[in-house]
Amino acid sequence: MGNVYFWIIYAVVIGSAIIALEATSLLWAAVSFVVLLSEIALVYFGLNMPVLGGVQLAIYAGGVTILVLFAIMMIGESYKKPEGKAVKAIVLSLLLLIIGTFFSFLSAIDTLPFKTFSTELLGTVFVEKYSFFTIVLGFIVSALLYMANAIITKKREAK
Amino acid sequence: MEKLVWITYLTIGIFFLGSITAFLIGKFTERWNSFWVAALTGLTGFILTCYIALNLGEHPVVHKFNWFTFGSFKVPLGIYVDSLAVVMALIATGIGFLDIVFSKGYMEDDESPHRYYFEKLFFIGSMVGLVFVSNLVGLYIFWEGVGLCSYLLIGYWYWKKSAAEAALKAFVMTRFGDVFMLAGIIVAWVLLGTINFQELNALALAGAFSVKLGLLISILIFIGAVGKSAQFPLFPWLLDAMEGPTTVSALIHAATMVNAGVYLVARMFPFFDYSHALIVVGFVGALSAFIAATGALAHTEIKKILAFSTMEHLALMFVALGVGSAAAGIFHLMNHAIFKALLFLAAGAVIHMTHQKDAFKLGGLYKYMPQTALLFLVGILALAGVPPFNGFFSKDWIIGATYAYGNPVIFGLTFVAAVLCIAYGFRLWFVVFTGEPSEYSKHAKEAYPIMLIPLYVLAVLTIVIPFFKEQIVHFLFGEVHEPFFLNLLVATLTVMFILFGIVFLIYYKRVISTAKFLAHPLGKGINEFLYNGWYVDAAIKWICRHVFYGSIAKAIEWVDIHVVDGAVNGTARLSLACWDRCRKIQTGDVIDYLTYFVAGVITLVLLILFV
Amino acid sequence: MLLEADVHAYLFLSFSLLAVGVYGLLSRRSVIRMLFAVEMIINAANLNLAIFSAQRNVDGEIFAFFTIGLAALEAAVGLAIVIVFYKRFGEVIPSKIRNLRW
Repeated sequence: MGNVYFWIIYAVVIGSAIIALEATSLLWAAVSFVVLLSEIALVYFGLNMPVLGGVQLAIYAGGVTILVLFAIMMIGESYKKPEGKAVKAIVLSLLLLIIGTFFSFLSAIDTLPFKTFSTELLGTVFVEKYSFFTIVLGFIVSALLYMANAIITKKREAK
Repeated sequence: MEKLVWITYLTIGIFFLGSITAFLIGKFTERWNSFWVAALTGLTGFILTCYIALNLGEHPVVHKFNWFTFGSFKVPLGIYVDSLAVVMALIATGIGFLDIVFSKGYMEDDESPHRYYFEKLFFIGSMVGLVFVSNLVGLYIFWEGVGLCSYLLIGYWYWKKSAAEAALKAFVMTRFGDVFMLAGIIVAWVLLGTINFQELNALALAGAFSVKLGLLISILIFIGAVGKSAQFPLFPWLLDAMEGPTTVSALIHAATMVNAGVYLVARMFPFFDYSHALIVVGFVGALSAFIAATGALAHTEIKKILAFSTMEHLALMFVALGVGSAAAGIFHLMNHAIFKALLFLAAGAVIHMTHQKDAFKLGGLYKYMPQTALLFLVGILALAGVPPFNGFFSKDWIIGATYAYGNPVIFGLTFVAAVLCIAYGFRLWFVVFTGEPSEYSKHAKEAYPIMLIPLYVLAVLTIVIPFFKEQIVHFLFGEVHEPFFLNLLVATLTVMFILFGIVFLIYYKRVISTAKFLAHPLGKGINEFLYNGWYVDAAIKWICRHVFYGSIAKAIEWVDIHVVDGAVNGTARLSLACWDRCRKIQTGDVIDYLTYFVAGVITLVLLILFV
Repeated sequence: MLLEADVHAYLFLSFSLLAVGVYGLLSRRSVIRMLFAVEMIINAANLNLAIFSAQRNVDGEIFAFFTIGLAALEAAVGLAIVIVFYKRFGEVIPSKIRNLRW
């Protein structure tokens, strides 16, 4: 079922995720969120995917976290622990976990040996197979960014 | 032959063109200029009709074309001009022209002569089109045109409430008949496959369809004719139509509108004959004649007495057609048009000069308007059927034909109605022109020359027509056998003379007083019964109010409110009730929506995996 | 290999992260926490892509790149919305703003 390092990482991931949701201070929740993202980057490194891990670190642990911190800075830190409909959420999430795990064990997923892909292969496949897709995606991304800009710079309506 | 076709179309078209021109010229230049356009148009139309009449040979003028086409469905239109049509057109255009000339004097105080002449020319044009057209659809178009113009002209003084109501009444009542006529046209078109008069008559002569079907079509079309020609029971509009200008009444009663029904029956005479519908025509005519003659005897307004007499004479024409003597009917139509135009125009002169419509408030007018009085007398003599005026010849022919037909009810009613003409005619004349002058009469002057000239023309015609009786009847119907009974003629004249004597004693010598009779409850009741036209108007109102409005319309309204609206509103109420319960799900809280979403995803996954 | 583990273990990690994310999404009232939860769900999916990619071919990894890019973008737009939200309503609790209902 795997070695002890995996379960340590598992514990850190889930623990930091729960802390990110449950922490009273929003700032400490953001810090915990950074820990979660870094641990997932560690999982990618462990799977011999250094490029993906680097991108995860750069974009998630770097960019998104900075954005979150700026947002927290702009709206002000909150220490109030917001109450919620916890029971319904716990039931649904546990249901998801049980169903997912149960079926992942039930269905015959092959346990193949892990391969190692070189960066050259990654680049070749990317350029040969997905370059056109990247261009289309680029336009979509540009449009989304433009819309985000438009939303932010929109003047508040006069009351 | 080709030339006559174009002249026929030109004759129809010139009136519509002239009407618009008269309106525009009256609108944008001096208003009375429209009179000259109208008179010119009327004269041109009359001359063109005369040209057609003179050049009409043995064969009628026929032209056909398709009005429009829907796939295989074709609507034909065309003209068919034979001697009957051309005589009707001569009456319409000739009397219409004289009427237009007379109107110059009668309508001198009017504000909008261009509107008046526009409607008038349109009226005459519709009538000319009606008689020239060759099938029922075309006839129906012009028939409605005539109805429209009668509405407009009766309501010419639209600011008077009574005139507006009379116009509406005329429109609705004639339209009531027209609905049945339209149904008859549709039935004929669908079941017989043709609407051409000649083809329908040919089918009837060949016996190509069952008598019952023919009877149905004939009765439906005859109801339209009843409405247009003001027969029992659809006649009250004719009396109310007296609210319009008197010249309009003259045009409606003499030249155009009411003749249309008689013309229609005469045009489809073989069809009616084959269908055994003529007996119905005869009975309706006889009853109408009796009602009208007795009503005229009791009424006091000049114009309404004349209106009752119009109804009676139209009924006599229907009787003539009903007993199978179309020649007598059409000949009487022609004579009636002439003397009734004379009477109405003379009455118009009287009313214009005295501003009083009630005959019993006038009196002694002979001293003030001698020429009008004499012309009126000529009209009365022709109306009463006194020889040698033209009314005598046709009316006596009708009485003879009815006697020869042998039905005692029709003959009795017709005879009484026919001889009563002299009674109410001379009653009117004596009351208006003799006796002590009233204050209205004292201000009267002789009518203008432009009003007298048409009267003289018509008066001369009443005397001249009998000399050409043989030629006219031959031109219309070829060889016709006229039944002649000397003893009947003697009896008729005797009864007429006795009636004249009675009226002379009551209204001229005034030795017999009607006051005692009217004071008695029974006499008063009879007088009011006759005065109100046998209460047919009230009966129609009662039926409309209590049967149509009170029960049928109320029932339909109930169904509409409670069933139709109930179903529509019920659907809305049901969906609203469902919605009121369902909308509670929508809290507006994003997290609730997310919960539904996740639960839905789980359900879908389970469904995909297990099902 | 550093993290020698069965594929089922990785899937269990992924599902656990998903469950925590869903729990956070449904129970938290703050928009920022909800964004955290959304990022967790996306990371769970990403982890799945990476695991199966490691066993088979390189395509899954490339898709993981795209996902990371789009997730970052989504986070940027979401935080922009958060700021506009705050400017407009003075708080970041969506449950109190119930404009979109009957």
